[in-house]
Amino acid sequence: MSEELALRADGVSMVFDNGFQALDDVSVEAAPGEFVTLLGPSGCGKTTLLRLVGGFLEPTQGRIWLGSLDVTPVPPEKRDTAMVFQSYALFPHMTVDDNIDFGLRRKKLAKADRRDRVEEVVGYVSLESQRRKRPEALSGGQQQRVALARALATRAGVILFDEPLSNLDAKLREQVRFELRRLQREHGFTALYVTHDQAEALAMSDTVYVMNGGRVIQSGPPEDIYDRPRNRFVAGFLGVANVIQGTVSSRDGNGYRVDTGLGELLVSSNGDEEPPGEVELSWRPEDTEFVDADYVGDNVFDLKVTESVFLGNLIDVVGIVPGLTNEPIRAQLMRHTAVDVGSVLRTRIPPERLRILEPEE
Amino acid sequence: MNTRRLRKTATAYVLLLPGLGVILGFVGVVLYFAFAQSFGQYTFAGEDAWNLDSWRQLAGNDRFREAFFYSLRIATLSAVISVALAYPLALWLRDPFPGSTFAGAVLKIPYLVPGLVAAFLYVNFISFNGFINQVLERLNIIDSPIRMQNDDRGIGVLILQAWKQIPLALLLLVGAVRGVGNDIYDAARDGGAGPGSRFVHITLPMTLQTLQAAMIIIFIGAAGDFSFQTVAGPRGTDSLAQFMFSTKNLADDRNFAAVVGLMLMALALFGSLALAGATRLAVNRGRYSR
Repeated sequence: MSEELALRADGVSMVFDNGFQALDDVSVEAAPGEFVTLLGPSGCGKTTLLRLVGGFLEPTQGRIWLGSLDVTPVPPEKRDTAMVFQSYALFPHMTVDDNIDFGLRRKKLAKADRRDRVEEVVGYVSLESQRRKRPEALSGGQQQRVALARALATRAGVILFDEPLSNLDAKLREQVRFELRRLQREHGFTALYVTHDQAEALAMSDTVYVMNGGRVIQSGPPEDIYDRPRNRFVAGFLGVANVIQGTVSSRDGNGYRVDTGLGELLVSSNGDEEPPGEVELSWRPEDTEFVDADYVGDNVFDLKVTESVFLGNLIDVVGIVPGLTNEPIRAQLMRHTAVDVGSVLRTRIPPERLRILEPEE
Repeated sequence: MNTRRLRKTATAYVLLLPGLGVILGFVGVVLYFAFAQSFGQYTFAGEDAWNLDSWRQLAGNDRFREAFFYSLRIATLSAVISVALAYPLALWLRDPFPGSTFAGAVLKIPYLVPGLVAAFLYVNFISFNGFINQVLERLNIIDSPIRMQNDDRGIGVLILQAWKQIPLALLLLVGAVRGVGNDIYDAARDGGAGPGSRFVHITLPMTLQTLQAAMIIIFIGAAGDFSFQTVAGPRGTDSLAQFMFSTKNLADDRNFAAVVGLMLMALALFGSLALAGATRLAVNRGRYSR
């Protein structure tokens, strides 16, 4: 076990008593101070993995390490972790102060130290005026802050977040997202964060693990995963992606020529491996370029606009390429560009923005 | 208040009369009789006169004092023992498991057995020639039977009270502990609380009102016990209900029996409230301990 890692789940599998396999040979790691996110749809096993790390479940296979300690059989009350629950799980019969103080009492800290620690974390989350209130008297956002303060107070090595923003409205969610990231950076705790919201994962994480069907499909920095999705699932789950079928026809310098429904497309190579004949190509709508009507070059086609949706900062365009494919192609333009339904836009996809996807298992 | 509103209110009270009538007619009249009897009225065997004679008898009556504190002790201990034994069972039945419904139903059976029947069943076990003595003799553990029935400390009565009242406590507490979410327990574990700490700091405070209700109901029932006491209680000490009965039937003193009855009601009311208050204090004290 490497000393540098704060957390490591090594080859973890989890089969419940009813036979349902929630996790299949999953490995996840986090360096000290790293913000790691488990991202995936409902039922993908991300919360199960979080609960395994927290000690609420014991894996049927694999080991969990916190620092240099194998904590696989250690119960949650003896682990150096703290969890922020999706429901916040605040103790309803206790005040804000008592909720935060709960873990400190269990650690048998001196009264003066506990008082100082509570004051400190209450300040972090700006709840100074709410300290004597019980959870029922607080708003959802305030309850979320108390839950965060309770986790921060114990100064656990790893803080686990189980979709903590899912009960907040969109505006508050965005605000808390920034605050959470700021607190994590300021205090340097290691965070393992579970969400199904790709925007949250991209905005907050150092590393994202995309999960599906109890397995990790792809991991890496958010930019890498977004720009270079491994397969169709990742491409579709993280944002919007155009995916089309094609056949590799030839190698061309540092890339390949692929026959698709949009004609022959030039794709920059993303590895030394020779791709198979039948492939899926993907690119993001915002990578689409609009060029002059007389532009000639690789990866150029005419897109007939069938839908145009104003998104505030962008215009989302859906179109087809008449004569070639009726598959809808999505593109995004800056908001001040005028786009009428029925108009034809000369469109280009830069070869370096096209990605050959691996087949899904 | 305008006439229409007044008429509406009056109609509501009239409609409530059947319910109020039962309360006033049956409970109120009985209470009034007991109250009036304790002040020298409704003597039946002699002349009625408003006086404090029967209340004055209380002061120097050792049998009454003994019965009062005996009933207080039995009622308090019955309530405490019953909820203390019911809590682990309630926590065990909190999460469904194969057979949990059946187990829960079996545990509630004693509640369906009338008190007097339960007392006789119990006596079959502990009497001089009862089941326990016979088994111990056959196993050569004892040479001669042990006397267990009608013990001086009222342990037999306490066992019977607990046996009979645990199902009631269980019925109330299972619902209450099920009301505490799994996330709350997980958060407590996450904060470092072991099983004992979770019980003291989470389960008890979050089920306090149900706990108090269970204590009050059991206390009142046990304070007024007659059947268990008659069959299995100590021979030298009366419960308040037993003393009231003997005062009326054997000594034929209805007025003093009414005083004992009122004292029994006072014990049930104030004793149960005091016990509920003490429970709250104890739970809160535990909550703020480590």
